[in-house]
Amino acid sequence: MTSKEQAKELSPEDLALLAGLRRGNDWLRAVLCTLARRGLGFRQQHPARAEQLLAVLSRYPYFKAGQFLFDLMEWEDFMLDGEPPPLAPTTLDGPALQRMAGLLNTFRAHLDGGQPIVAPEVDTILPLFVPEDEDLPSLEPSLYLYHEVVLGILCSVRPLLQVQASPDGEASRPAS
Amino acid sequence: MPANLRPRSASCTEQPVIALGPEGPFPRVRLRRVLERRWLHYAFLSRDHALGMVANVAWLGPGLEAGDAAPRCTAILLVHKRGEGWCASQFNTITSTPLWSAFQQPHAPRMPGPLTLTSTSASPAVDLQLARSSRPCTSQCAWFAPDQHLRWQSETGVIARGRWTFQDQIFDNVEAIGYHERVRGYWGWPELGGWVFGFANDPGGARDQAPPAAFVFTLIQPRGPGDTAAGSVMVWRNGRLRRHFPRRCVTFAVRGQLQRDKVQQVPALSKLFGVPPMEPIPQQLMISARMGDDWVTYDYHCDAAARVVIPSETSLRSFSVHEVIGPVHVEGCISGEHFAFDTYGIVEFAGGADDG
Amino acid sequence: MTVDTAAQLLKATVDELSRRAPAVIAAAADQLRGIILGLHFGDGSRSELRADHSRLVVTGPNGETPHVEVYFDDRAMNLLFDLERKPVDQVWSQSLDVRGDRQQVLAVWRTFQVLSQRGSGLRAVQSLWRGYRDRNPQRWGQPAELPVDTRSRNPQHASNTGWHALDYLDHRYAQDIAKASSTVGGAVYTDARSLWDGYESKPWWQFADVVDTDLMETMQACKDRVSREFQRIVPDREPKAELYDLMREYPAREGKGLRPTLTIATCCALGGRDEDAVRAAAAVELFHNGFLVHDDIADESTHRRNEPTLHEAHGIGLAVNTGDAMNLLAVDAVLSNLPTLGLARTLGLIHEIMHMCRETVEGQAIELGWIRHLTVPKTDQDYFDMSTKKTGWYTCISPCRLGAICAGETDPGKLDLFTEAFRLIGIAFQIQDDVLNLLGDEVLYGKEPLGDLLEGKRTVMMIHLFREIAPKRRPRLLDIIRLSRTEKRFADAEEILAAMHEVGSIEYAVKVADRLAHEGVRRFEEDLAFVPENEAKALLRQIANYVTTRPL
Repeated sequence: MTSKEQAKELSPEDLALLAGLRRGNDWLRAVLCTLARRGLGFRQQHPARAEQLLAVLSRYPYFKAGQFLFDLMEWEDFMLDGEPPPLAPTTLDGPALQRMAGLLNTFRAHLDGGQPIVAPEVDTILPLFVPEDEDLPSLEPSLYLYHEVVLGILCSVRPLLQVQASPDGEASRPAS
Repeated sequence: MPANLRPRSASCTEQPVIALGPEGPFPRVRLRRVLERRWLHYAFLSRDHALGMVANVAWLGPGLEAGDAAPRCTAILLVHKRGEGWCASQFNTITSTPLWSAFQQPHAPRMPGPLTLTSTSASPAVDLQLARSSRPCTSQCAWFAPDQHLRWQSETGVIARGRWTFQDQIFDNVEAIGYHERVRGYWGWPELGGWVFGFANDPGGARDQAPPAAFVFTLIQPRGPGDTAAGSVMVWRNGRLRRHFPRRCVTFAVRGQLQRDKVQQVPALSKLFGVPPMEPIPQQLMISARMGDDWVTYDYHCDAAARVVIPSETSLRSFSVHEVIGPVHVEGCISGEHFAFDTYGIVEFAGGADDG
Repeated sequence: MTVDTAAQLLKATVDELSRRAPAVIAAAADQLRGIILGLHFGDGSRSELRADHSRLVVTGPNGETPHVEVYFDDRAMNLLFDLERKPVDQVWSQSLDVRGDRQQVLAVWRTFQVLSQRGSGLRAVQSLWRGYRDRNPQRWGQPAELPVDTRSRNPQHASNTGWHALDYLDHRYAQDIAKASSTVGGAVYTDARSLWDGYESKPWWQFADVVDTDLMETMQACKDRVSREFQRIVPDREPKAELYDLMREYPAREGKGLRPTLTIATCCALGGRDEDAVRAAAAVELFHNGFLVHDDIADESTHRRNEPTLHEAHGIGLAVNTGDAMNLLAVDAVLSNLPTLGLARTLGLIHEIMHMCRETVEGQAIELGWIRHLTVPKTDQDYFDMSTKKTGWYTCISPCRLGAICAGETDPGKLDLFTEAFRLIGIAFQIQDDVLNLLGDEVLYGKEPLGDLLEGKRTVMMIHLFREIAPKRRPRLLDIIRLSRTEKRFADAEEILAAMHEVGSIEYAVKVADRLAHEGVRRFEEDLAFVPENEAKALLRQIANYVTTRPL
């Protein structure tokens, strides 16, 4: 069935619903591809670090669960299929991360009322840590994209997690 | 020119107005690197087990030479007749367009579609109507070496009817049941190491319905020291994937060695080159899987094999896929429901490209 | 031989292993060297075991005091003889007693290990032991319990054996005594092995090493396989009575099947198929037979393999023509590999066959020159060189190299690694053949008695004789060997034989053959380490050791 014939069978309400779904779909694809491209960019700049991070994460139960879901939902095909989507920096920019940090802090407060996950001082410097999205490499079918997405997530949320590191560890000190 | 080298028809490539995901069987993105691969794999056994066929259509990323931008496509067809051996094409089998695939969406169950594969010498050949009776398993991925991966997805219980040509013999209205798979990824043969893969469909049940039970397994054995094997066993009941046994819940063992004279090397042209000696193929393969109270065993005896020699892009030794046909006894218990059947199955023992 | 007692079982086992797995006997003899071992079995029977060079000799008690004595009860015999159960399950306290010097006791233990662990893998040996067990159940422990229905599986079974695939293979399938119907392979048991146990992966293509096999059974299978190919190659058309029937009939007289076995085994050892090697093996047989027909005419031989030679039966003209036709068909057989092995390997085969034929005719020329010029070469090395050319290449060296080419190995460096080991083994084999011609039973050996002496063949014994005999007696012996074949009487041959005994030529030749054979085995293990340890290589190993252990 061609796409025109397909459209003929559907009511305007159906088409409106599907158009809405497609918008959400396009957004999801753009976010996933942006994360993957950030991850790929990170891997190209720091191949040894990327490999080591993945080696450590590969034992992490959430990593395995994510991999299972990634495969189950066939996201790799979904990401690669057709023209590459535009970058989605606005959904993953500094303010977005700040909103996410706020959500996490609220969540933690609701749960046990303990220390905030994200320290207030980190909150203010978050925009500085958001990766530069210019000149990100494009995705290729030779990549196992789950790894790139994971690296992309790490690149994006690393500032959020830095506060969790040991106070005397090098990783906890913001770059000067 | 093989049909699969021709541009795909408009109906195949047109993106629907309202597309929420890939049409399949592969994402619409160009292969760019030399080790990027895509395969469509077909394997069928006639219901009387007298005939068997294995076909693989493969696309490989463009070569390294400047200006060599087009992906390379190869297709090979092997037909086996019990007692008479294998008849194989070279890597230039002519294929129908578009290639039938259960992974092309939308795809209604039990609606037959054509698949024609013909050797340039007219034999072997198959002219089939294929219909799905079952649902595919989850897409699975093995990654190794450390930037390579192989992604595969299987669908068993595919029903085939049509004409088979073996040497100068033609068999019409052959009813067969089999297996279809899509594979894609990025790998070199030495890093991949090898694999053991296979399936069996319960021959009982109605002819146009899904087999009452089906069994598919995969074991990928990369050669790198840090790489671990990926594997799984899957059991279908009446067309639905009922149990996926992950790798920690399955074991594989082999015994004996298949008599070498039962292994035929294909394609014929491979004999002209310096193909290294073949690896010994086990005589018997045993697989067991257990998860909670669910269990299944696959007891397979190798009977006849074809060694498909595939040149390796990155090593001197070629990669060999040994397609093996033989009797199998499958028995298990899923959700308290016991099942057992005897049939013939197709198993692949693949490997051999490592220079070390 | 009836096997009713444990002592008889031991003797039958050693006899079987001598014929089927000489490498096992050689290895066991190596451990036992210099020790006389007294064996007292639970059924009251007794034996003595000792090593003679690389051979094991089993006798009844003969009055000598053994260095080590072993007392078995019936159950402890399982330690030696039962593959189906582990020794640790069989040794009960008080069931085994060993007395002797500590080092010698350890040597005896190693001998038992070689015999039981390597020997018991052979199906034929298992069959022998199973027969003994069935006839003497009262002397045996409980048989290994196997499930009645070996195919049935259920959760109950799973809980009995564990659920691993390896357990299923080990527990659900009894070891099969019968050899699989293949040419090479299947003569020894191979254990099931795990590819994936949930945590560890072992590649499917990595097989456990197999270091022994059944030489006799496999050699017979290879010989039969090549005979069938030989019969297929000879055309079914006229003139039959004067040509093709003569060709068909001739290979029926062939010997042990050494050449076909070497070709097929080498091909399989390097990963090829039996089917890939049979045409090359048949071609060698055709060349060989063609040469023999002509050789018999040149040597004026009257018998070969207990039958009249071809020229004796059908006249020189037909015999010469049949020999020519065999050589022609041999070329055809090599070329027939083109569609199956391809151009590169077929060219390699042609090259090797040409080399083999050239060596053979050169060797023949050297020997015929000695006879024509009535000379006896001065040194053993002259004989070694001639023997290598005349028989070594086509009997041992080329069959191996051809087999390797059939498997796709065309690297000259690799092919040359087969040469030295099998050159030495070939010379040793030829010397032993020469000894057997003087000492052996005609029926067993297949040639006329003292035929070599009647022909005036220059053997190591003959060279030694002329080197060692007192100078004043040399002219008389020279007069004898200068007589033509028809002029020589049997008494002349016997006179030379007596002189050989007198100066120890035969013992000398046996020692030379033994030294060469051991050196050949050493080179085999060193030079051919690149060949994977599989059943086909094990077959080559048995052949290499056969020379060191065959009874003379």
